[in-house]
Amino acid sequence: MSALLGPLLALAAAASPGERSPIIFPPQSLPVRFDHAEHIKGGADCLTCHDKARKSTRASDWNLPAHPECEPCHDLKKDKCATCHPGFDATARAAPERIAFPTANLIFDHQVHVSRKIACTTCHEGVENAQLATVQQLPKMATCLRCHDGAAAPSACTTCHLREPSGRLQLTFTQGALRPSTGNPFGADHGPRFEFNHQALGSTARATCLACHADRDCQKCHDGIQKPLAVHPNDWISLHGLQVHNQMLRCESCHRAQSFCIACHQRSGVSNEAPGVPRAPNHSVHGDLLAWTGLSNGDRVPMSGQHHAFQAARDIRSCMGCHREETCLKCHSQLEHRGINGRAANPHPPGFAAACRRYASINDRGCAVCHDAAYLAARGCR
Amino acid sequence: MARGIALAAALSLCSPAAAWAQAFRVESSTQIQVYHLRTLQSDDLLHPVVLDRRRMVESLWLEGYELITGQDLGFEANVRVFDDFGVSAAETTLDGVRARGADLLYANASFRIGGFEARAGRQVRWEAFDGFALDGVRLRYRTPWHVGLEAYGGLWVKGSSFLGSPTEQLDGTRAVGLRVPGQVPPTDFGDLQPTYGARLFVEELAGFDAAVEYRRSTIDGQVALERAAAEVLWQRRDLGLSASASADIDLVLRTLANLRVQARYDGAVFGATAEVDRYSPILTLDSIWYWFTRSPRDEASLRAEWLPPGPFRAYARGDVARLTQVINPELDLATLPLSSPAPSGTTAGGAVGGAVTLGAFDVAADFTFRRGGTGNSGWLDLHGSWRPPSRPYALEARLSYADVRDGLQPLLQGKFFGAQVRGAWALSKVARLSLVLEQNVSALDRSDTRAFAQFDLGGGVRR
Repeated sequence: MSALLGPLLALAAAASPGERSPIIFPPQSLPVRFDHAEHIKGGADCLTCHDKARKSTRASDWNLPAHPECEPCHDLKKDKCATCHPGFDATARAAPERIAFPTANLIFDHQVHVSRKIACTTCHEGVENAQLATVQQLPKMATCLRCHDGAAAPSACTTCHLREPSGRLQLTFTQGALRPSTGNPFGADHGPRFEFNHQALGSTARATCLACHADRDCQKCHDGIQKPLAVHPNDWISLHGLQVHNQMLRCESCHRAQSFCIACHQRSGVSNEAPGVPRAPNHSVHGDLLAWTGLSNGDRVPMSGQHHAFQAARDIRSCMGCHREETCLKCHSQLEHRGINGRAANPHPPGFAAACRRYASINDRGCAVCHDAAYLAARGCR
Repeated sequence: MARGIALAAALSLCSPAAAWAQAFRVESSTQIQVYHLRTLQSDDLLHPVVLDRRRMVESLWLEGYELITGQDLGFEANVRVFDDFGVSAAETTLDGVRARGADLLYANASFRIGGFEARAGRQVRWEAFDGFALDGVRLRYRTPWHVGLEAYGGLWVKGSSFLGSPTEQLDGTRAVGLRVPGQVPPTDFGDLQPTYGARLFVEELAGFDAAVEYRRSTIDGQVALERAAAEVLWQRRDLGLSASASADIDLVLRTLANLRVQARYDGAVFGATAEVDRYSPILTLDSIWYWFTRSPRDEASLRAEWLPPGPFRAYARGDVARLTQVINPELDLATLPLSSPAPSGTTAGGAVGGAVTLGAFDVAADFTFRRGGTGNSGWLDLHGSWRPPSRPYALEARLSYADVRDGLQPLLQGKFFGAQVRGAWALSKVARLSLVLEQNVSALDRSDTRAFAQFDLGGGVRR
């Protein structure tokens, strides 16, 4: 039920384009004035102010400069506080507004990167031209993947992402849920209607999905008994017939026709093949029943495009949701002797006869449903 | 060379597993559904067949990890019990009706070390175009050279299995044991279904992931399913480009049964996906329908997504689908003139939508439409939610309007209005109660009220 507004939940946690994930890099508050470009022009390099980064091994390490890093160049006694702390008046307040620089929800080791002689601007793109550095100068995942390709550097998701005891990625943080958004380099954007669009990715990039998701996550929607409201909204029960005919959803990804659909259809009388169905046959389902069956009291009526053969040939699944095999046997089984003019109508596709001996050698139980042993033996199938 | 490979494989197996704290996780979800189901009956529209749904489903997930300190040994399980008090005693005897029961959807233990992984027990397996549950063993080994092999074997889980659910059993034959009187079934419902398969894969090799796989399942010594599949994924992550293809070949019919080809661009502001698909039903060979028809459904679609700077994002999708039909030329149907043409097997449609997030408010709209031989439909959805930060409650609402005309079921046409309101209250950090009220209005249903309640409980411990 929590999937009622699933797409919205995904959007809520998604980052805007060009921005880093607010889950990975929680919002910062930087009430300071600083100009990186000016400092670099003045001869400073990154380590002049961020020397601690060389030895930093954790994302939680504080690598921003404080007064001791500023003092070699700035005379803090002479310079006004407001030079760096705009609006701060030491006569009115004891201390300037504090910087809020929450720890990134990542695993990161500056020391390893420095030891590999990776330039700071490789990850902190554009910082040399920035004034105040913000999350915009922190790396995007695509930036990391330039090196973390599985060859030059490890590509496992847990190289950088925090993980659960299960080994899967940690997805829930105090800032919200981590979900791939637009621009995700794995093409895993969980954007609008992702519940209808994830088949291709789930098929060809299973390892990517399994990095975050357990069977539990799949089963909650695909369990075939609950009603995920984001997929089946409002009056779905009344409207599902058309959706099935149009196949706007892959019903079989959650439901089996012969073990799910048919149960309700028999209860309601839409299907009347099983013994014990409590209601009279509901012939309204197929409109003109004579045209649909092509028969009237066992005699053929003029063929029309409404004949069931067209629909059955196109989409046998929509038949299976209501009918059991017995329905077809009435006219298509050689054993029933109830075919048209005493002859079973051949439902097999073209070319079937040429291959039926091979088919029978693989599984002849389907053959035996409609054909007797003598018939099969005469054709060399048994 | 062979010795080098063997040594590298051994080293890979012996490499120390990543260690984390011993941990357990328990999660449960209790859902109660109260509403009516109405069905279309032309005989008496004023008195439609109404079925009661008074269903309660309790799902429980149990997980444990690092059961032995320092070893990646764990288990995962999901069991559910359910009861629909709205099903009458007489209806419970109907084929396929499961008014109440208990299902063990999966329960397996896993062990990983280096590139090796073993999983034993009931497990769900997703293939390119279908999924199934298996009581058995799966072994997987990925070498350091990006190549790996996976093999599995066991019994396909059917409704007749121990605590088995028919949710993932092979379709095409009846669900349970009721038979038409006097007719001898070709197989017994309880027959075991041995299944095995293997998958040779390549992961993250020069931008490629690829696999070929084989799967075979038998019942009582005869083949129930035999298929081969191939998949390939290519990605240029730096450019946001990817392309993938999956093909599923029915080795009995020797046909390309299912196919999916997709090309995708994921940019920072714009995304696009083009896809071509072919779908055929995946049925057991024991089903007569397997031998009746093999006409696929072909589709093509194009989707674009736009995410301008700010809280707004939008998408549009268009698609066309074609149902093919092959009628046996021996049939009169194929040779005699038809008094009226068959309805078109082609449909076309699409969807457009947008969403905006403003503080604690989320609002979204979607419009989906489709026209063709199987019917026309237009469906408008408006969503809204309010999730105040640091508050234990949230509200959501959804309004729907559908205008439909089913091309096959003449009674299914008209305008349908619906509204849902959901309230959720976090009772604690591990407990949440949700209530949904749904009201539908249409010429078919007139007025129909539904209620859903859900209680979620979950938490974990680490040692």
